[in-house]
Amino acid sequence: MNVYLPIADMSINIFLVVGIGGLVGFLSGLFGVGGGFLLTPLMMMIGIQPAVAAASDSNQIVASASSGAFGHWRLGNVDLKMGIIILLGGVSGGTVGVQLVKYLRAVGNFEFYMKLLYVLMLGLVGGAMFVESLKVVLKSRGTAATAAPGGGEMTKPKEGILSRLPLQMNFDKSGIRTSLIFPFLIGFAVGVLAAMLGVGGGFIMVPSMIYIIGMPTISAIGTDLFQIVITSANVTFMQAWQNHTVDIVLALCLLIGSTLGAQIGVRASKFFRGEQIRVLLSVIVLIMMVKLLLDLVLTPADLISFAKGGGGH
Amino acid sequence: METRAKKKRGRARAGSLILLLALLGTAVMVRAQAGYEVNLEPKNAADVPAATPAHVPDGCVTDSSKAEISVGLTYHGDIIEFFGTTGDTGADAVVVILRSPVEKVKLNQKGRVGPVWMSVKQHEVENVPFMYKIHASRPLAEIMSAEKAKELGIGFDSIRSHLKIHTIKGLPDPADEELIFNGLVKLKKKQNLYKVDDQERISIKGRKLFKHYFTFPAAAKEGDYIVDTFLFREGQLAGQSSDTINVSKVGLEAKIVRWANHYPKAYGIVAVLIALSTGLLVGNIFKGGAH
Repeated sequence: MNVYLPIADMSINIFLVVGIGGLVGFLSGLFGVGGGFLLTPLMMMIGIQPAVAAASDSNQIVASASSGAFGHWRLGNVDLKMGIIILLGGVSGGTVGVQLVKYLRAVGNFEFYMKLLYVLMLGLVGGAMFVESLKVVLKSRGTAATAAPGGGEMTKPKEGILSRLPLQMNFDKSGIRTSLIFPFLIGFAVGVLAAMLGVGGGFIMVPSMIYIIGMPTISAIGTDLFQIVITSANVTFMQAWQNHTVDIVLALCLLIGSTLGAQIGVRASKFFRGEQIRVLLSVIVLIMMVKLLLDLVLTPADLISFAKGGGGH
Repeated sequence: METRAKKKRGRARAGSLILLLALLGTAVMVRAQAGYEVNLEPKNAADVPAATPAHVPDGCVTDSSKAEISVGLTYHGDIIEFFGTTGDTGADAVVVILRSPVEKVKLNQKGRVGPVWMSVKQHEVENVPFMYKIHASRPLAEIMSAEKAKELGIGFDSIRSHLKIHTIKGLPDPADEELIFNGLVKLKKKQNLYKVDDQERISIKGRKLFKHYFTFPAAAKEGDYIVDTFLFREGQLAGQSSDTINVSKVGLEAKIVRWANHYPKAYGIVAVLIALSTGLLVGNIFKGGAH
């Protein structure tokens, strides 16, 4: 059974799209990660043009993050003050990012820079995850006596640097005092990535909030989901307006898959040993990184390609 | 414990069913509404005036299984069958050429920059047919001379002679023309949009009747596709007929595309709102299971 994706301008098997959404949803339910950084590359691999894949993914993220954000909001886990500072960065970063996408598409190198960014991101995330989970696995087996440095110890010195920056402000909800500059900048960076890659950016935002800003974990997760919904909503709107790349049919197919997949993933996570599967996930991420890297360095089969994906309007 | 889990699972299942039904219902409603505005009934090909020039002998009659293709949400390509008779022309060969509207395409040309490959040049190419296919009952070279093919505009060379290439990024280089043309044809062939000299699909039955079919791709461009049928006898044109297939986007699919292009801001807002409401709805359904 095929569905015609109106903006991607292609006909595709609906079960393939829903299935990929389901697979990524399953992984995100299993590991508690967003999954946007897996979804966009997978969309590209099945032939959806990179810009449409990223923009539609942002649209899908609005949906998949909204219920979590709402839940955390009700439980009072969202540090609204911090969230707004990050969002000032996220919304301006997303807006700048979409203009960057527009410019790069016009000069024909969006795909190149997007893949380059993905190689860096996936390498960073996959590598960190691989090292981290391998350590845990080895530690749990008792073979490695070397203690991994705990998160708590790392916050102190970093906090010191941030406390010397200007524009200090109290964040009562998280119980911290820190400079506005870093939250704004990290929000801005994640906003640009959201536009370029179609990711939520939780994999950068949450560690930054916990280890660098020094927020409590639960408040970091709640605030992150809150900023993801609005940053992605802004990116979706800007992409639709500036680049006409949001395929709502694609986003809905992905959403159905990822929602169901996430439910299965959450339930399955009770039966799996987290660390070992985490090694597997990091290997998947690294394989995708290598695949994209090869796309950049190997001699392409076609030197000539259509600009802006299709035959052009 | 177990019964609660069961209850939860049951709720989740019922919830997902409701959601699917709701989505399905919306889709059906929107499609039904769209149906009032567009005519889904395929028109008979006979309604379309066929151009039969006076200077060639009469006798070639052709028709197609349908004259309109409506690209909707479930469209994934189409096949149209063509029938024809050679009349009293005594033709020994049939050549059919499908030409689509031409368009202006933008092409990227990759080149090596240090260790990586990226776009180094960009070209704008005018007069590129979206689709170009030729069916022939025998190899084209046997049917007609190269001059005749050129005169009738049959073959890739005729496309090439009409192309206009403007290099819009990078230095224009006459040597690129070969690369661009070959690259373009390769891309089009890969998408199954260009093919010449296809003898598999057509033959003359009893020297009178012939039939063949064209497949239209999933990503068909809108517009009139002209199917010209040429009859040959001993290398000379003995008859000619023309059919038109109109491809148009209809229903929800067309609305989405038109909307996305004409009201991009409204489209963006609606996309966000749909995502938000669906996300919250689904989250509510699965509330029992997530934590």
